[in-house]
Amino acid sequence: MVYFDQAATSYPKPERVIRAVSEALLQGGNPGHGGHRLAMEGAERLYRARETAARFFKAEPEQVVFTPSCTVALNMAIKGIMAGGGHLLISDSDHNASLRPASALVRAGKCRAEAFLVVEGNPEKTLSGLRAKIRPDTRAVVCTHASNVTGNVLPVEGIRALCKEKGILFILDAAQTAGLLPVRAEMADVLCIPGHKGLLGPMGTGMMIVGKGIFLPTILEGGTGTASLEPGMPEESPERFEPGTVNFPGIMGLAAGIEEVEKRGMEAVYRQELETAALFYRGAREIPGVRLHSLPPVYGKSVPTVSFTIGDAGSAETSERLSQEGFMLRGGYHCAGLIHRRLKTERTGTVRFSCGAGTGKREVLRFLEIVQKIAREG
Amino acid sequence: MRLYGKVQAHFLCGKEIHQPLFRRIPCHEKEKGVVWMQTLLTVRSLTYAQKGAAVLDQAWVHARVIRAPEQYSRRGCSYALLVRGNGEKETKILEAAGVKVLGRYPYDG
Repeated sequence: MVYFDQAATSYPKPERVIRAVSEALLQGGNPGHGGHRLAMEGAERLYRARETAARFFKAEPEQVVFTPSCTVALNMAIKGIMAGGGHLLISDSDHNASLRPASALVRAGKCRAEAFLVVEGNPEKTLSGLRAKIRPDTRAVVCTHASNVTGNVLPVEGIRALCKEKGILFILDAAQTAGLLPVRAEMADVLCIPGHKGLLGPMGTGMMIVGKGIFLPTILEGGTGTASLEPGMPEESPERFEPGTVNFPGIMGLAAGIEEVEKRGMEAVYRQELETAALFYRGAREIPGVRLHSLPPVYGKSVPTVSFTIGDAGSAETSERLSQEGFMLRGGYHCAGLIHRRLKTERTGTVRFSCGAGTGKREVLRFLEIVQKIAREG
Repeated sequence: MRLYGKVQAHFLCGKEIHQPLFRRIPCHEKEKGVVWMQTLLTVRSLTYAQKGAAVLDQAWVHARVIRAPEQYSRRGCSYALLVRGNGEKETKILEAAGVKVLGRYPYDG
C-alpha cells in the first residue's frame, strides 16, 4: 500500500505523536478546569504545547487558540470578523472550510461575499484582480495559502500588503502549507491551521492564531474554567475561544508533531517532497491520455500536490482503480467547488497526487506504471 | 535544604537539579520561627498566569500558579501567581512583558 493522500491527512504519524497521545490519555483532571494537582499538571502540559506552537509560528502563547480543526478556526475567524456585516473577498482556490461559512453568512443576509480569481503562475494578475474587487465596504479577505487541488501557492505576502494598504483584515488558511512552508503569525490578522496535515499531529486538532489587537466576537460559548460567575465568555484569548474541554490527547500529539517537524527540518522535507511531486509530474506528462491540471511543481510556488485525470474517466472511478492496485489517492472535487469551474473539471473532478514522508522515487515510478496501464486500458 | 531557584539549587547541592516550573515553596522556615511574606498577584486568565510564571522564571524569580481563593475572584474561578515578598518587583517584570496584574494581595496560604 502506498499513500499519496497527504493533502487529506498526513500518514503515517510519527512514533512520538502516537506516544504523546497515548501518554496523555493517562492524564487525570481537566486542564484549566480545577486547582488540584492533576488539573494543574495538565494545565502546565497544555501551556507547554501552546508555547511550542507559538514558537513555531512566531507568536505569543496567548495568541494560540486550540481548535478541533482548521475548519472550526476558519468558521470562528470568518463569522467573527464578518459579524458586523460588510463585504468579504474569498479566492476561487479556497476550500469549503471558508467557502461554506461565507455562503452561510450571505444566505443569512449577514454580509456580501465575492470570489476573486487566482491566476496560477501569474501572481501580479491575481493581485491586480483582487485590487479591482475591493470596495469601500470590504471588511476582509480570506484565502488559502496553497490550493489543495492544484498545489499552487497563492501570493499571500502581496495579498497581506494590499489588505494593510486598504485597512482590510486578512484571514489566511494555511491548511496545505503549515509544516511545509514558513508560516508565521504576522502573515495574517488571523491564521488558521490544521494539526493533522503538515504538522503531523492527530486528526481532530487545529489552531487559530489571532493577531495582536484583533478582537473577535465568539461563535461558540461554554465553560472555560475561569470567570464562572460571568455569563459571557472571557475577553482574553485563548480562553475566549476554547469553550468546554479541550482535546488534550490531541493537543499533546500536535505538540509532538510540531517537534518532529522541527527535528526533521522543514526546508529539507519540503525540497524532498517537491522533488517527488516533480518526478511524478514529469512522468505523467509523457503518458498519453493523462491530463495534468496543475502547473509543474516549482520551489516556493507549489506544494507537493498535483491533480490529474485519465481520459474521460471520472476521478472517483480512477481513484477506485488505483486503490485496487494499492495506491491511495483521493478522487473528486476535494471540497473545493469553485476551482473546478476554472479548471473545467466540473464533470470529472480530479485525482489528486500528494506525497509526503515515506514515499519517494521507487513508489512514484511504480505508480506511473500503473497510471500508464490504466490509461492504456481506457 | 530549601531550594528556591535553579542557580542556587546547582550551587547548594553540587549538581544540576531540574525543577518543575510550578513547585510548592516549602515552609520549613515557619517551623523554625521564620515567616516569609507571600503575595498573590491576580491576572486575567490561566494562560496569562502561566505566561507570567514563565516570564518570572526567566528573571530568576520563583512563582507558582495557583487557583485564586474566592475572595480574590470577583468573576469567580480564576488563577493567580504566588510570589515571595510584596510582589512589587514581580509586578513590574510582568507588566513589562505584557502580563497585566489586576491585584496584589498578601497571602497566608
